[in-house]
Amino acid sequence: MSSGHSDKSEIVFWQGNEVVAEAAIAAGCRFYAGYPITPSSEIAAVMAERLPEVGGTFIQMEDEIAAMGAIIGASLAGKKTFTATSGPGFSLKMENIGYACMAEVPCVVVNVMRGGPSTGLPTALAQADVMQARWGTHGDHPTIALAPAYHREIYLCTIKCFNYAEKYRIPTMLLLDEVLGHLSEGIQVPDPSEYEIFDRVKPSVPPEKYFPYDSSFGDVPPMATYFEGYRFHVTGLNHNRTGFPTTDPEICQQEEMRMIRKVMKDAEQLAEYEEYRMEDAEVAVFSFGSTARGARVAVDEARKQGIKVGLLRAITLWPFPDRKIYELARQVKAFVVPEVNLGQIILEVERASHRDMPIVGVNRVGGVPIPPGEIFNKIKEVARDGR
Amino acid sequence: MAVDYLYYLRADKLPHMWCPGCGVGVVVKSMIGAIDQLGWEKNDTAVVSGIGCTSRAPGYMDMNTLHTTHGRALTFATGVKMAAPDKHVIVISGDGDATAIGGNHFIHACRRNIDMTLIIVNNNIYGMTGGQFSPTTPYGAKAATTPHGNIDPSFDLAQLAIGAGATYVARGSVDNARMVQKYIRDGLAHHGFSVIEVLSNCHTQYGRRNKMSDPITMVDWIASQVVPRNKAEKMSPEELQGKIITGELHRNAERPEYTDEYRKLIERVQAKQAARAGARP
Amino acid sequence: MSDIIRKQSQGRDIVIIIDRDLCKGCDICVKVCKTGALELEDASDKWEGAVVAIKDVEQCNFCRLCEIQCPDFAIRVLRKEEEASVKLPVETKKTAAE
Repeated sequence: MSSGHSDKSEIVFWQGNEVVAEAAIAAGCRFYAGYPITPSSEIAAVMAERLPEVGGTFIQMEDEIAAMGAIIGASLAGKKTFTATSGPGFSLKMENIGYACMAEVPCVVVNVMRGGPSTGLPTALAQADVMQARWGTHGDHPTIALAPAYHREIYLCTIKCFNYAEKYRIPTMLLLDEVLGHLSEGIQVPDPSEYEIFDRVKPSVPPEKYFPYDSSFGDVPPMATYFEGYRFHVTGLNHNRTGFPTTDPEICQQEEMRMIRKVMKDAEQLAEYEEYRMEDAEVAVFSFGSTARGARVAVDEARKQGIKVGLLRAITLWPFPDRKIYELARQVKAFVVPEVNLGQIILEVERASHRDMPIVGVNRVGGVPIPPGEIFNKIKEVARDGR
Repeated sequence: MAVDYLYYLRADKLPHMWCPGCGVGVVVKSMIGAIDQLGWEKNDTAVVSGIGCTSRAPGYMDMNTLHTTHGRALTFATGVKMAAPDKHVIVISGDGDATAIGGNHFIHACRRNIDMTLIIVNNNIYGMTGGQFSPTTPYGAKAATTPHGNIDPSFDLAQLAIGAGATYVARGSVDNARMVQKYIRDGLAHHGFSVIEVLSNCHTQYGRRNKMSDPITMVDWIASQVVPRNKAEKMSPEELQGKIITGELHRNAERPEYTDEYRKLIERVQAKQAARAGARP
Repeated sequence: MSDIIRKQSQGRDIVIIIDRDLCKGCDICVKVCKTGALELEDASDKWEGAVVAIKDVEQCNFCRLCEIQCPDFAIRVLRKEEEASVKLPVETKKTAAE
């Protein structure tokens, strides 16, 4: 547990969950609402300690749904806000996540993934909420979800989640897993010069000319803050540019398409990844989160044995790195996709490859990490017989 | 001076969507009257709601308005209030919204004693979805989902609020809008969590199924059941059978208010920090 | 164009204003009026129902119950001097349309 904030230049020894909390404060977050749930609880504990120090607000709500509601309300009142949860809590937040999509309210949701479905494995690893992060709330909606693998990256991705939330007016998601959340690791805290902080664009027009969803300012309309004279209306119903409900099919379609477009037009920039030993690779391992750490070991091991294999590690899961997968599918003979679920993100690799080729999973759901040896064996198998 | 109702309303949205004679309009008007009496600025006031007929009210009010998800108005409102503790936050909700799907948030907002006001328009039914029974539908009543009569016992919302820790609780009825306005005004002025339950008429969904399909008959039925608190105190339990007591039912100025407590917590933490910094060489 | 009915008492300082566009003809105001100043009239020019009309402004005793109990903001009972301080529907709609 962190005690007070450390000097930025020194090396600190933090859990992934502590990294998230400290990075949130660095990003300018001054409001946290949460509900106790393993394995994300340390985030709330650090926020409860740290927020009053910086004049911010921590509140433990009566349930997960309430926590999600509270961060949306506080965001409308001008704060950068977030909540953290795991599995069952993520399910409970879904309706209000959709509300934040529809009403275009910036906020960040951290999901430290654990085994499921249902109560599942509360204290054990899984990566099985990646499709839920994309499609968990009902209806069409945009999603930005980052899945860092290293503590320094967790710090920077947390800040990016706040930046993207503010920039695109959406709820963004940070997907950790139980291993990353609880793993303590020495990191040098990034210096503020290493990252940007983005604040939401406020209206430049006077209140009488302001419309909360005025696309004449672009696909992400400027966002007013409550109590600053704009007196706008916010609803989860389909609405027109004024923010008031409409059922006009033409307007509903236009507005929903704008909501998707505002994110997807930047999909390629958003879809960050890291390539490792990919130059001459004939087999690509696609992985993310803590599993990618093991995948890297497996790649090194296979390289030692002369197998031309590399690692494509997604840092952004949504939007998915479609173009990169498409290009790689024309370079490599096969993909190996290790993930701690029974085959979720592999479906996206198949889709984005646009090619009939060997794409094989390495899957586990028992709550333990995939041993690098298992990934290595699959690489060897695929390299040998293309299957 | 007469209240300038339209000053507080988004007049271009009128006429509103509620049925002819619906009590929600009366409650909204009472709320505006109360805000006007207190001199609250529109810019400094947020009105938050969930889902249902009553929850359409914020859309008509020319303030900072938030129409949220079903049952969750108090959670969004808590976020708004905690982020802007010096501003006014009012929640307006129906009986189903506030006490069925939103029941958990209701009792916890009462428990925290956060300085907001919850106005519950209790019309004993889910109106917007087609007249299903709610936690306040009387025993035996007909609803879309109780075609053979309701067997569910009902909540006493005011008692529930008192039990959960709300520090101002009153109950009024739409047949007496003057008193409703008074209770709302007192609730808004109260520093802490206040709950005003207003017995209201849904003749369209409730009345139609229970031989009161016009507003006059149904408002008369409500009026026939209510007994003001001072009168009720002189009545025997037998006489009070089937009656609903209205009036200011509870007031407690002693319990600490939540945003005050949090502000004090910040001050404590920061004082400790400053002391630590000062102790360093 | 708003459809406003305004009637002023001859001898007393009472003005009744009705916005026929906001009235839904629920009859509550007519029932709460103890003096019979209001009545419902057929409004087939507007819709299939009725709207409120001023039967006799001289009967009004300025109790304002009709105004207070109207769910639709359709009726105002004012002193002459109050008219200036109260935004009337006709003005509001003009502003909103601009």
